[in-house]
Amino acid sequence: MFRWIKPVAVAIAGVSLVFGASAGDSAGLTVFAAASLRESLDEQARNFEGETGISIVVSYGASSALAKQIEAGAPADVFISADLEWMDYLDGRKLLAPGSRGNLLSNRLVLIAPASSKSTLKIEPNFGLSAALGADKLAMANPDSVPAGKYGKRALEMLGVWASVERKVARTENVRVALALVSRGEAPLGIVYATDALAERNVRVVDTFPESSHPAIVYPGAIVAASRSPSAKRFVDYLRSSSARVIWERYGFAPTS
Amino acid sequence: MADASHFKIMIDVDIEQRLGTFDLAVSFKAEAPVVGLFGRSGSGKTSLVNALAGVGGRRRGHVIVNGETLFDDARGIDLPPERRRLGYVFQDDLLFPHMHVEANLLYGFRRAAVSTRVIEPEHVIDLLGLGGLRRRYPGTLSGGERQRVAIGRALLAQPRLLLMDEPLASLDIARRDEVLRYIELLRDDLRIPIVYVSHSIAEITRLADTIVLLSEGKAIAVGAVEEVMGRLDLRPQTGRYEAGSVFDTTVVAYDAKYALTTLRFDGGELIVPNVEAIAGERVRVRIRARDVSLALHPPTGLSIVNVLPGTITAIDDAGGPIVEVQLRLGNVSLRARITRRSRVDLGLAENQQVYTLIKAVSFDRRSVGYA
Amino acid sequence: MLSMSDTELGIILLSLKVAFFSVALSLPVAILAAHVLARFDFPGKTLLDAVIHLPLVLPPVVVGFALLLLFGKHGPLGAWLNDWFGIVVAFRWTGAALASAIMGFPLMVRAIRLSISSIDTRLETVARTLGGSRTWVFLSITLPLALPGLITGVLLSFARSLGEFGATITFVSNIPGETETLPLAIYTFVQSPGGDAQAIRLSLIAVLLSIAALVASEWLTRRTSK
Repeated sequence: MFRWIKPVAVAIAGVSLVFGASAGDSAGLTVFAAASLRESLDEQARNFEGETGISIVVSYGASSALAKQIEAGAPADVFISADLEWMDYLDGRKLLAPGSRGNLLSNRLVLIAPASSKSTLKIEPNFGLSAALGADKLAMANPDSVPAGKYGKRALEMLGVWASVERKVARTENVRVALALVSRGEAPLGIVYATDALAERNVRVVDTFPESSHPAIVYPGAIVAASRSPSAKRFVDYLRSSSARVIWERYGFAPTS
Repeated sequence: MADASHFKIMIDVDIEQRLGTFDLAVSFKAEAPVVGLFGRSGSGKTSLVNALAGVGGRRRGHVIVNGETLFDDARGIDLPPERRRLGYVFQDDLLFPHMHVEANLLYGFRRAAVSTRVIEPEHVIDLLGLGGLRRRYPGTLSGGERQRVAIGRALLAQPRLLLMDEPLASLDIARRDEVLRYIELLRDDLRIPIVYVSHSIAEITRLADTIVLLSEGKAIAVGAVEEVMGRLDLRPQTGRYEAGSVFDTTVVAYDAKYALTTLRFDGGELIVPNVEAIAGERVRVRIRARDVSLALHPPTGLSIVNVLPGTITAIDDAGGPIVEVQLRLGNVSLRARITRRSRVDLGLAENQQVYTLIKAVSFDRRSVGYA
Repeated sequence: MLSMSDTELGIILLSLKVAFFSVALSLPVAILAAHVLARFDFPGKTLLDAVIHLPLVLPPVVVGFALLLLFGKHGPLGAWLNDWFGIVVAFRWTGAALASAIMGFPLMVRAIRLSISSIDTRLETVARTLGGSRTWVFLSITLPLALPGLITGVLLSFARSLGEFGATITFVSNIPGETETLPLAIYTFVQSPGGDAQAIRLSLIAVLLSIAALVASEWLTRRTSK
């Protein structure tokens, strides 16, 4: 009657072994990084792996979401944020390895449109953004929490057009989703980083926001206090190296001192 | 009557339970190879059987089987069903549909301690004619086959007692007889004590020696079958039962020419048709009182085949046109029903020697049981 | 377009691993819950029933958030597990399995309960009179007869787990190789420039896996129902 119990039990044990054995934490490194760093950091990581043999896993997301995850105990070794505020957030909670924090990169903010758009909009105080949008949406990362959105909101405020477009903003979870919306033509205009626009063939830059309209876009990097990895510092240093700098610049990032 | 070589078991029951439509308050002690629980529908039979098996609601009282206490709420004893060792055969066979016949049969056998295994699978399979059905699944069997498997399954759990709750009720007439014969085999071959619940007089009288009469949740009479069933004051409960006599006989001869069988008992010999048994077999017969006539002298030129001498032991004269005469033939009690006028005309009295006349054709399939 | 990269294969295997463990984890609990709901009556039964069905109607994000509060490193259960057993579920594939287990639980319980309810209790009674203890009767009679419901429950929960997103991303986030299950990976590819091809490939696989699970459920149910 119970002839089927044995084979089933063996099957379960077998599958458990196969799957269970793949428990991951080896001597690798886990990096939490802002979404806008995806392609560039992937390449940096591959090079680093090739040179050192240390495996790297990167989880990309909005800096806001990542910071909260780290606060909740996510196993990140290194954190690269797209703005200073979120790094400050963790710093203030003593979640960073003391002295490990430093600025890595800088970026610019741009207004984009789908590649096929003929828009000749110019960014200047009180420019006709709302009119250009019409009934459509402006794609932006969440202006309340995500760095790209916060920079964008500050810039639009400084230029005096925020109030007129506030209700037309399609808030996305991170800057890459905003990029995707514009590249697919779902939104006629969007605000992303210059590096994002470079990465996506299907969008074109309509204009660049003047640096005076928003806080400097700085990407700080730090080692997370709870990290047990001996390679974290090595990786962060690598990201500052001259060979890394070449790659950053190729993707449109500017280094900071 | 059942002979003393049968295995006797004493059942001592005293149960009080609150049920939906009435309260159960049954108290009796019965001893016999087969105890029949008779009562009309709704008299509490099934609730009583559940109480014996240890199933169902809260109760007060006790159940003692052959000296062993299965339930006694005063002493805090309440054995769970799996420890009571009572085989339970329902009206619905309740065979396990996901197991074949052999697995069903062995379900209880496997759980029984090796030292208690007295009833062997092969014997039961043989006895109940289940040999060809071993690997079949319940869904493919006929009603009679399923019920036989159910009985076999209960037996192989090595029960001290079989509880059968209307086991034949869902079968058609032909199947009923088939299974009934097997139950008689259990009684006589395996010597298994049985508590047999039914509202069928024919079944009870054929199988049981002692009967407990139930009505509205109470045991209103306990005693030998014929005695209880013949009591006039119990007529409302016994219903259309026809007074008669039940006793065991042995087959001694078979007349192939006329297809008649001779049955011998202590009071003489009976010639009976339609008996499928071979010489030496025991056969239980039931003779209705209305089929027995009396004569002062052995009659001649009469078509009635069975003429047996006997002594009148009692005459029940209730005042109406019919009287019941109780007679003794050897060690067997016989009842006859005649008109009061005949009694007076023949001058019948106690201790008188008379001849009893029984028409051979008054024996039918329902009045002959096999042992 | 149809050839798969190692990464994609890794994602699928991770999803299968998470789904498998989520089902294995919740099955015994679901059987117990289904049996209790099907066979017993007690004060608070309706409440228990409602709580069990909550994940079916709550936004998955709420479940994920609740898990984060309870099982996060600083949460009451998470801290206890870590201190006493050294087990961490937050941001681990085990957490993804836990999230999936909870989301699929009501589906499993419903299917199993339905099966158990349809079993004639008298069969269980007979088995007990034949000498079976309650446990033995449960294992030899109730469970085998409830098999169709068990299979359906397992496969439905498995399929649900493969598609679990909201609770997963909230509770264990999106860590490649660890918690990036199929739905999360598709989500990532959707956001990546040029990631459409991969997103479509993985979506097709998700659809195929779900169909396979549903078909298997139907087929096995029919086979075991005889």
